[in-house]
Amino acid sequence: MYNLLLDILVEVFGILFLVYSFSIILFYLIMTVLSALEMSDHLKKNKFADYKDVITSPVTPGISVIAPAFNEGQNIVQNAKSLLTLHYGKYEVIIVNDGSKDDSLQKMIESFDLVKTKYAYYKHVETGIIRGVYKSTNPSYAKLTLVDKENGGKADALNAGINIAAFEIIACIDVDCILSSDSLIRMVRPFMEETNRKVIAVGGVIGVANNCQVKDGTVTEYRVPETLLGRFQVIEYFRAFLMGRMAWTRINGLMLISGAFGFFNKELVLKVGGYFPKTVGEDMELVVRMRRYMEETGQKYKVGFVPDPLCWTEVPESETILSKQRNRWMRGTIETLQLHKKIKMDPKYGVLGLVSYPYWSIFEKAGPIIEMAGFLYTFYMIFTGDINALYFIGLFGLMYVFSVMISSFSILYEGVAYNNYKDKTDLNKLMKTVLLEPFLIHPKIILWGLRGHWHFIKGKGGWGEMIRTGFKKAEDKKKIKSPIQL
Amino acid sequence: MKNILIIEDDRLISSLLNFRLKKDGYHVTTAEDGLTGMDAIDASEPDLIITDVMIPFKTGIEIINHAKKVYPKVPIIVLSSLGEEESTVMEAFNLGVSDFVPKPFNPNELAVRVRRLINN
Amino acid sequence: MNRSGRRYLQKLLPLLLLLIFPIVYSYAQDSLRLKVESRLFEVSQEITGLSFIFRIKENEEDLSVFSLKQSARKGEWVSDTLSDYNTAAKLRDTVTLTLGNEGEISFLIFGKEAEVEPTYEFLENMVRNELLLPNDVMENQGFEEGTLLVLASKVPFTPYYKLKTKILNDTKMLLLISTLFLFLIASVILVSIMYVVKVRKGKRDSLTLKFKELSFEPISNLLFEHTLEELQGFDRKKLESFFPVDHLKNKLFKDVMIMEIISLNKNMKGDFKSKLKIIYRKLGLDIHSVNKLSSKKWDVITSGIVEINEMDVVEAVEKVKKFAGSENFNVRTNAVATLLNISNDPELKVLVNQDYPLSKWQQMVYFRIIKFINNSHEKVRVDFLFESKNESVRVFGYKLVRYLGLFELLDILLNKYREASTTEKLEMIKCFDAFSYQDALDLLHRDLFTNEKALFLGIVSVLQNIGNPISEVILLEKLNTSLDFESKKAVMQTLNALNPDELASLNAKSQDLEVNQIFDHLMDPVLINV
Repeated sequence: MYNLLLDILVEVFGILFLVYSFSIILFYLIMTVLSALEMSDHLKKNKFADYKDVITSPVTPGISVIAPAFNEGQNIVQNAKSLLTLHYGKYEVIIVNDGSKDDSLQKMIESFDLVKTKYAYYKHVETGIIRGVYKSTNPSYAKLTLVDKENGGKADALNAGINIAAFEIIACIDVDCILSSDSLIRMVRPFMEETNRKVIAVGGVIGVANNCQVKDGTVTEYRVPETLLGRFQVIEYFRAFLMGRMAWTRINGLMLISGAFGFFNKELVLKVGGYFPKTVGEDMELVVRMRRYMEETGQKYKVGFVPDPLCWTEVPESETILSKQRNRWMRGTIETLQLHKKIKMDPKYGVLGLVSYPYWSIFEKAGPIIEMAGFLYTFYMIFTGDINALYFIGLFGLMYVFSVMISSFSILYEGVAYNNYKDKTDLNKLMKTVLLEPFLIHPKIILWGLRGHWHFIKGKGGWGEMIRTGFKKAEDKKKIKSPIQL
Repeated sequence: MKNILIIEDDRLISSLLNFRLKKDGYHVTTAEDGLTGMDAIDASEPDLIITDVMIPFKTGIEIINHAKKVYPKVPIIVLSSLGEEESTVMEAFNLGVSDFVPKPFNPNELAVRVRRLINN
Repeated sequence: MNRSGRRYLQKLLPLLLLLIFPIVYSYAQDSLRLKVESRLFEVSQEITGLSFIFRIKENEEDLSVFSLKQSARKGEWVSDTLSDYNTAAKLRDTVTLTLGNEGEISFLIFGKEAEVEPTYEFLENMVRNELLLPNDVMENQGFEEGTLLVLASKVPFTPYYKLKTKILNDTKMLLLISTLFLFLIASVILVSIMYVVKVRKGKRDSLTLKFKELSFEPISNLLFEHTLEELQGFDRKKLESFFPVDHLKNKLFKDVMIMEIISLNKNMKGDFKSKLKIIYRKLGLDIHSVNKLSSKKWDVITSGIVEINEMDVVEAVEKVKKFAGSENFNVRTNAVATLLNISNDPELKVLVNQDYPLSKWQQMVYFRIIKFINNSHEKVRVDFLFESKNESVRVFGYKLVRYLGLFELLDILLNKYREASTTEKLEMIKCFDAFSYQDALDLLHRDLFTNEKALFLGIVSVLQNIGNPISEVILLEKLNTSLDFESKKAVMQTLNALNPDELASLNAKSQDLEVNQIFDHLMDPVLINV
């Protein structure tokens, strides 16, 4: 009896794993094609754009750049300065000091002749306590505003910035990001091209700055990082953040805009209640909520994406920090998907509900679990002798070859589109990373993802618990205000 | 021979100016972005500088500031597609640039201005 | 990715492996013999038409004990013809064990002695025709006794055979294999395509660079060494002689030349513009540009349109017209821009008739052109835009009133104001603001009672500039109703501009915390300067 049951189970799991593997391959194949088409269109479009016009034209919309900072004392002044020299006409820079424990505030005040003002503004979004709004007495820093608030996390800091933002587009960036001087000009383009579909948000690519030559706030020469972990992230950035998001853009299914470099229509952000500070995945959650709002109010909309290299950041090369990042990403994903369960497979939500959401649930959220189960299954088969060595090597080999193919494709893809990594030895190093990644790094990523699941279940990170249980108690609902009650 | 430094990201324009000014017997150095421009200012001991105010990596203002610091007497001509009423251009004038030539421009006319400034 | 799969995939995978890492079948006779033997062992039954003789070379011993007899050949003992291979093998083993001298089993097919290879084929034929049903080699023989080498030579074709029948009978299986292969092939194809694209692009880029260098000298020479009249006097041949002749027919070279000429044309003034146009025309590059319009690719069409625009190829206007309603954003934008620029259309008909909403990007492009025409050629009839059926076009028209300083059109705006949509009104009141148009005050006061917040805020802001004592009274009244923070701030800002003393006394009396805060904001010296 038990034997029969076990046999059936083994059979069923086998089919499931096979279907999973096949669909992931199929998905990646479709993705490469879609992203290639989108990139080709984008590059052609770039040929006809006169970006210099954007700076001076009276038609150009204004942008409020919002950069939350927490204990960034070392670089904050330099970073604020480079933000103030971006090539753009109508824009302001709002630095939000999120209760830093270091000398960030003091340094900013001294360097920019800031004084505390009696700035009166409306709290569109509830935030932590604001200690002061500072402006400069020096007219050359008129673009700069500093908001000093008590610590409340990144989303809360962004909300504080959104509350006093004056312009119609907000750019949410990490203060330690390196921005190219024409980043605003290029990112604003999809907004300016809006015709009959409202452009609600535009995402950008974030490059890996580690080991690159940076001079005066600009990447002048691209090099790959020294460590395998760093180089892996370069490839991952090509694959997921350049290629993947281009493909999603093609079908208007983009669900995640990186929190380090994202542009939004302010009016709409305010309408949906700003960032939701109770999740660790605030960047993804906001995009999903905005999309949901548009779907539910029956408006045509679009989430844009600009693949040009405009923003760079140092990625963690330490395993501990990277593991924490991935853990957090996983929790953010789970929380967002839980919060917006309603759109799952609902044809009312179009691509969002029928494609994006299921993809994120199956491949991003459940991916590590399924893969781990797959491993265990395979080992069980070997152990019981139900499987021969050829079988194991065969499927492994197939998947391996395929993953190498996709990664190589992404390197070529970057090469065709921008060709930033010109050094031959660097490219060789990247290829080597491609060959090693499935053995040395991918298992760790799975592990960290699983840890993210575990931490979510255990309710680590504050509000995970409530999101998990679905806000059963009215008490909880009161605590977490507006955003999720759409 | 007098040295002229051109800082301009449009390679075509800088080569064209190079071509034109060489005919007048000047020695011309070109830089395509703010960073190499800064280095070129230090290295080439120019007798006149022609610069755009919107170039990669640096603002034109930074360049003018730097040039004025190193060679307070060297005349600077700003060549830009920005209008004269633009704040950046005003700022440039405040920093003491000698002349402003808006794009589109006439290279022969620019050559005349260069000659006049260098001879003074 | 997942590393496990369905059970019947187990059987499929050896095949997969064979195909991924092809194994060359090159068996020595020895291994062929082993195969024949293993198959015979498997069968362990009599096979019609096949018999065996055991032979051994022995000169000294008498082997008749093993019921062998001496053959015709000297020193060779042979057995009787045996029908069962097992018997023959047993005999061989026994003799070998006793003598330490190995003999050999010969095969007879229908009584005639045969080599190993024909025997093998004979056997396989029997199997294929199901005259012979072999037992499973795994079960009968097992792996335990063989070395890896023996295994390797034994295993491949039995499962292969079984697999083959299985595959043929199982469409699901076929589907699986083909899917897997499709995936693999598809990914290989994709990577190869990308590689080819990359290489080609690299070549193209370096060629473009080379062509740029090649075309720069002659163009500069023509521009600086020759007068306009000289250029006009040149015929095509003469002009071509300045350029590398063998490249002039090359499409890419033409494109590069056009790019260079356009870029120079954009940045230069006066004579030079005319000179560039002469070069462009006389070299026949205009035909190259116009031909691009018949392409199927949108980017080629667009670059054709852009070139026609930049180089004023007026005779192509009719051809460009049909792209003004294109559904492709870039084609449409550039076609409209071109028509505005070179089709002598001061009434802006092409804009008036646009069906698609104008994006800001398009407005930016069109504004630049309209401004240029308005300033340098003739007055543009912006008021015609007000009559468009397309709201975004009308709104763009109002913007132009402001940008181009067309205050003479304000009266028309005023007449249209009442019937206009909120979006239009918002744009109109900005015009009233820009020209401090007092005549609009009455209408604006009336609209202060609107429910639309954006409109209210807009009007309040305009009143800072053109408001009068009546505005003051209305706003003060408004401040007593329940206004939201933003509206309050706007109203107070305007009151501060109209009558600061009044606002100050109001603030002194007010219990409203927000009012006090806003007042402090308005009085803050740092914020005033910003």
